[in-house]
Amino acid sequence: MIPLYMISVVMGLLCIPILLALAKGFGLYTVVDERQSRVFTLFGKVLGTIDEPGLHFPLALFGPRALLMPLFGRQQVVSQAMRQHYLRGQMVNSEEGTPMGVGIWYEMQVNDPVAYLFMNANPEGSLQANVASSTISTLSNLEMDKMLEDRHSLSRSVRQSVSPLSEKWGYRLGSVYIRKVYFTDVQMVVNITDKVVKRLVQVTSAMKQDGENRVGLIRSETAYKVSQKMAEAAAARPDVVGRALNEISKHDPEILTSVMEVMETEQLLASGAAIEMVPEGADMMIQLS
Amino acid sequence: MTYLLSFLAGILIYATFRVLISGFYVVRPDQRAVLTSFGRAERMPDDGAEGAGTSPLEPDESERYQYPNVRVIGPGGPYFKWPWQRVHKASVSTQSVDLVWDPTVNQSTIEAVTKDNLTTGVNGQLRFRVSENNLYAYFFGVESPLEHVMGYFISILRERIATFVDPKGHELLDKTDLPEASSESAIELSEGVSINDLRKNLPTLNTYMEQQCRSTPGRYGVELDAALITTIDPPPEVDRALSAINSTRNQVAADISTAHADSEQQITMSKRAVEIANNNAQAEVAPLRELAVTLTAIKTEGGSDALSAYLRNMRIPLLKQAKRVVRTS
Repeated sequence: MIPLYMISVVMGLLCIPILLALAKGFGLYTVVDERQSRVFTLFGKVLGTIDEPGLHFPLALFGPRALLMPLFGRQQVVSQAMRQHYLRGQMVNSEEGTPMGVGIWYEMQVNDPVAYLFMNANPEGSLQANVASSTISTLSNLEMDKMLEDRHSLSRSVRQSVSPLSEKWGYRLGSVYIRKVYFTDVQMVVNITDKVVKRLVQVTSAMKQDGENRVGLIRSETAYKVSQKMAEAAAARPDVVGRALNEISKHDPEILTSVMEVMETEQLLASGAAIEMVPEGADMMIQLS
Repeated sequence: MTYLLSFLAGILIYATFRVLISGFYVVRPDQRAVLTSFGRAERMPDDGAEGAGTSPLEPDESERYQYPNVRVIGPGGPYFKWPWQRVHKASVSTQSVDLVWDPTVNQSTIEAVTKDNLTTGVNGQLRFRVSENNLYAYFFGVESPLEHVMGYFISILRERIATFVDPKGHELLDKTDLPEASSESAIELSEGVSINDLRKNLPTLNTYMEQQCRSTPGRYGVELDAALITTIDPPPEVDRALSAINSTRNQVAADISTAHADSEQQITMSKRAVEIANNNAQAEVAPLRELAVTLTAIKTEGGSDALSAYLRNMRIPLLKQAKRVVRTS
């Protein structure tokens, strides 16, 4: 048997939460979080929307009708935080007829909760369909290079064409980006890979050839410089000896003659050759055996 | 009276528990917090509905990404909060996420198409942290901030890869002191091999991505600390062809170095040959000069007769070697 004072304590403990729950249940107050809207409907009509965060009293905002809402109306919570969605694999054809896959990523945010709830049974699905169709119509029949390289301006075009419709359904479209453009035909991917490989092989050959040319150029320049130097080396003796003899001759020709005679005689002596001497100026033929 | 007191004691216990026991909180050093009262975040007094800080946003983007400035609670505590208040905490330490992270799909690489239409794989990491200056966006403005950052980043990355060309021009060969015209053919051919450009310029690509993502704090409340694209994975056959280019480049560089070394050696040898020939000639001429000086001295002192006498004297040893001497009477 639980004593009555314990029951009183428990009642005291539960009193505040119960009162708060009842007040909330009867719509006496409502708390709106950041980036959240609460739409109040009564007898099939929109009574109003609260999108300012904080504590609110529907009775003060909507009058006595707010008291009927718990019984005959509804309070719907709509998040107005920014969301994102990625539409993968939208098929388009380029101007050249190449089948391409496109992935489009977009952000959206509820900016009119009433329109979002009641203008379209499936606003997300409708928005996806619109983004997809706009993407296909914007990107179809474009040159393949433009499709691959000019994505941001194309993304803006998609955004501009989808925005008016989405706003009708209470959605505001945020940033839109063409996130992926790819080739759907495997054979085409293989062909492009082959093309790049061949190009790389071509570059390799060109580099090799260029290297050979450079080596050839270095070698020919070297041969030219070496040849010049060797000629210089060959010319060194005549140049030096000639200059010395000229200097001696300029000073006194008799001295040069004497020098040559001395040198010749020394060489003759050093050679040890057999010598037959004939006096200078002999005017007869001498037969030597 | 006892029941009333018991009832009031119950209310007091509840109030004590809600206010005192669950009313204090602590913010860790790596955390920042925002307090909401009845769901509303506490605004800064100078709130100009602009929590993007210094994030560069285009005018049309600024309209879309408008967030109020909220009061940020720094590390410390214990702080007190009322039962109708709620604390939102987030870690502001740097975290990393793989480029392939996507909660909606399992993937091992990011596919991207290069400027020359080659489908290649990209891998790497993003380092990010929650922006202290725009906690509103992170807590309330965006449903899944990291997914937004990744969506935005991957879109920009693929667009950049599709348009990427080597900013330093197309040079597969290193410059040497040779005429530039000789490598024109290789340069022409290398144009359009964007996979090679991408691999050579990964730091440039990372820097570009970091620049482009400077707007993420203003957009999503997440700051990009670094983009670390680590690998560009082309198909294996392209990889092999690229390896062949590198091997050839090394081979060519080696051949050119060898040719330069041979050339220098030959030129040095030829210079030495000139010096040797000069020295030999000087050696040959030296006795001539000395002899000329000596004979000049003899002639200066004794005249031509003395010189003739010297020459005659010098020829005397020839008579020793003579086998036969013919004399006329």
